[in-house]
Amino acid sequence: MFRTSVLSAKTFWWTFALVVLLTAGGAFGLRALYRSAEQVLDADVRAEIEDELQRLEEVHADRGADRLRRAVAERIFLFRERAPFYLLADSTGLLSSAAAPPGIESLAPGWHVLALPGRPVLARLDVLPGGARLLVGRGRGDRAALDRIAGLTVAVAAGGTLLLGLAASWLIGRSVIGRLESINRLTGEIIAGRFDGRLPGRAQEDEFGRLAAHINAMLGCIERLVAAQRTVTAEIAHNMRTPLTRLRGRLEEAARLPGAPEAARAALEAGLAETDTIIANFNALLGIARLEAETGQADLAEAALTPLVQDVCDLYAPLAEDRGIALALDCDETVRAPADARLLSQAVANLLDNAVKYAPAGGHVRVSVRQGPEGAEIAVADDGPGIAAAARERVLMPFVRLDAAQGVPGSGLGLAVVAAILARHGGRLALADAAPGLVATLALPQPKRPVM
Amino acid sequence: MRVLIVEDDAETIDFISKALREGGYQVTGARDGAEGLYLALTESFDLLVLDRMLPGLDGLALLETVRKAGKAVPVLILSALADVDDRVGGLRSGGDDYLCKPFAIAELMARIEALLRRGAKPVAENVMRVGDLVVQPQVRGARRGGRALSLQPREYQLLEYLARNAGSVVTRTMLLNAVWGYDFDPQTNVIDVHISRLRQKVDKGFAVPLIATVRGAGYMLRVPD
Repeated sequence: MFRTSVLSAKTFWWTFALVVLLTAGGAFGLRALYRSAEQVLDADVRAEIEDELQRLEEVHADRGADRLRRAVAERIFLFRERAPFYLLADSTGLLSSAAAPPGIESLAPGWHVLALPGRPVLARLDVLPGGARLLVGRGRGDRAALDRIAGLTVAVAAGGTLLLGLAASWLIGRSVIGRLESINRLTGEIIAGRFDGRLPGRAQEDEFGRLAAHINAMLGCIERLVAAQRTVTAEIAHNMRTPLTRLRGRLEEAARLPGAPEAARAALEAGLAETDTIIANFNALLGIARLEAETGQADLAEAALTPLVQDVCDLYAPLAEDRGIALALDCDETVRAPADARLLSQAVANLLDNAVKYAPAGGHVRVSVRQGPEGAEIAVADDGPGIAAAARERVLMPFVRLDAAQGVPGSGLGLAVVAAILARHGGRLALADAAPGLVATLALPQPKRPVM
Repeated sequence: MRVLIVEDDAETIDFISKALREGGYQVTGARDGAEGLYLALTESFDLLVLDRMLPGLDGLALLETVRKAGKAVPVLILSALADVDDRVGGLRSGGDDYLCKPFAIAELMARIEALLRRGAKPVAENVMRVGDLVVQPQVRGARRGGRALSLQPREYQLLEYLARNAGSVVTRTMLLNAVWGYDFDPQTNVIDVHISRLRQKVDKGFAVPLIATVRGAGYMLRVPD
């Protein structure tokens, strides 16, 4: 839930890509327009050239090739100071108003733009009956200036459009991110266990407004369910505990009666032991229910994990030693995580309890605290029988005990309690193969800081 | 010693009263908050056992009123609420100890005794003597028969707690709470293993064992006659 910058948002880049595409399209359009304008400008020149060619060809048709040659020569002389260009190539030779560009002899009949020194010339070449080639050209005016102005116009327009587009993309991106970010922030809070937040109600009936309304409605549902579960839990707690208290009290009272036969006393004590099992399971189940109603990391203070784990190891060390089990600790003292110390101690104690129960005599139990890739990790590994991969999910359910647990005391609630405690921390309990044995890892995620 | 029990369940009052009377206490019972408050304010008791959920007046409200009236009487809160927040709330309202229902009578008795002894208990830093055992909080060490015992830190803490409550039963839960600060019960009775080690060091080679197991209840550091 870190703040998304506008530059890293997809919305911004898609919008900007669209603007670039539109700008490219616009530039292409402007180019086409320029070409059309050029043709309109050329139209007059073309008409003049066609008239002149017609006149000269009439001279050639009516009065012969010599007369045409003279007419061309006259025109070259008359217009020598000006742009027109004449060229006649016939059997007597080449007649031209200026140095003809190279390759002019092989020019195909039709329209051409000739790059004469200093001026572009639009010209048409006709092939006259008898094989003479007549070319008439006229200057096109100062096209370079026009080209410059047109190029500049296109560049300014495209640049301006891009800049405006960039600004618009930025604004759109920011607005979308702002609204998505408030949704992200809220859903982050839900994951962290706070259900009372709501998205600001939006008057406009757009897709964001509807999304906000749906999320708010969904939150209402979750909040009602959690409240209902809490009520049920509290009700069960209150209604079951009084009769259990009475039952236990009466059994104890009976067991204390003076003069009771030894057999009766033994039976009463067995009854007391069973009652204690019921009470322990009942407490564990209520504990799980309460924990599940408070999932997430909300309101947990950060704590150093190593001292907490060491204390639990202290508690179990003599028991492990008595069973001939080597208990080894490998702790990174710097590791910290948001934790409810009491609950987390209980989780580690449950894991150690299991490890010491299942490790064989002469076996090993290794406890480690380290910084994993996604946060703090507490791992408890034993070299006992382990748990088959297929059963690892199942043993986290309340009251599930595997065949390997036959003959080992336990309620089948230990791992379920650990899983619930980890959920309360926004983390999870993972079981894996320690080859041989089982490694149970408590993964406590890095605290998620709310966005500013 | 006079004990007032404020509890809405008559049966619970009944069996608690019986056990307390067997232990030599005088017991008065109240079935609702108003009656309990009246008795607590008008009569003199050495200890209050207070159920948290009461008809009429909530247990914590009752407790706060009693404290405001200047009564420093020790109070043990009984409750069906096991959540740590409730526990903290109960202690903050002026409770001295908190016990969750259903409880073992032995646990209740041991805690009542510990609360009543609290006033008479030696000052934290004072040396404690139980027979020929000397516990020295200042150096966190102990001697027996003039010989220093080599104790691990946790073993010392267990022995000190037993010595502070010498002559009274302390339960496993109380030891776990006093030494580790835990208020959950481990699935295996790990405390028993710690006590047996402590016993090896404290009692082995001495004619009179000091650490006694009290069946169905816990342990006691016995004061020799």
